[in-house]
Amino acid sequence: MQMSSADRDEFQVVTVHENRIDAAVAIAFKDQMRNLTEGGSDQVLLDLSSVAFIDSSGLGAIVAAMKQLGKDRKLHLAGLMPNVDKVFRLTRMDMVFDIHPSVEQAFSCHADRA
Amino acid sequence: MLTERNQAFSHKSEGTMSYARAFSKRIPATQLAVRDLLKTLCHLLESSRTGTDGLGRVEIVLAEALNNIVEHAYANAVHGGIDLKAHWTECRIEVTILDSGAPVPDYVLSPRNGPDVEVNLDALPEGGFGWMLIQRMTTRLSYRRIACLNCLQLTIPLTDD
Repeated sequence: MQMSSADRDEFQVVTVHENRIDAAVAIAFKDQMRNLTEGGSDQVLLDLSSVAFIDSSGLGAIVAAMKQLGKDRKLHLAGLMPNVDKVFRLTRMDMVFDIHPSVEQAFSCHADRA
Repeated sequence: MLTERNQAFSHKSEGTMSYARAFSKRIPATQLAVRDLLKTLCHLLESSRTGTDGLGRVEIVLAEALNNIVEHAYANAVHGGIDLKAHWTECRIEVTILDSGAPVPDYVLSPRNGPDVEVNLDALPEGGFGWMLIQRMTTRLSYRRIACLNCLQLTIPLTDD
């Protein structure tokens, strides 16, 4: 599971360099998220712009990653492609994340609020 | 030992311009074999000019149905096989999936509502999304236990959203 992390302003941006988060990689994704975000910023932004496909196991792993962060930290999502966005909407999980159209828009939105 | 069969064919209905296409394959019940099958089927659908909304629906619904078989029906088995047969037109694909794993419990098939999202972080669901997605993206869904086989039949629209 190829993923990378970079700090930008008060965000930790975690980028997924895979085009799928499915049953075959869900556990690896969750473990990577735990390793990458341990002791990091309170605001984590997950860049999904390379991910064209996600299934229920991948969705469950993203929810689990948010729970791992705990209630004092926040998981934002950015760059959902149409079929990924559909999975979030049909399961109502779009209601529990802050979803931004792109990483850049997440930053400008945050700058506007500050 | 499983033998792999992979057939794809097409024919033009006499007197009409509509092309019917079909595909059938037997795979071992593993997540990677499921991935490969979906890739092959999606390539065939793409060559029949199925749009991205239809392709997305097929990939999600079949990934959920097939991975359920790998993870649940064959949970206690060392080896298992899955047979998938599909035929499609421009508007819809009809799929039959057979496996000889454990039967699907009744409660699994009952209609699913979306989860309660107004709950504490700890109480958010991490699973149970699979059948919800299958139910929301199919226009027909039937499950039968025939002798020692599970038979799941589903119809997925291939039209744009």
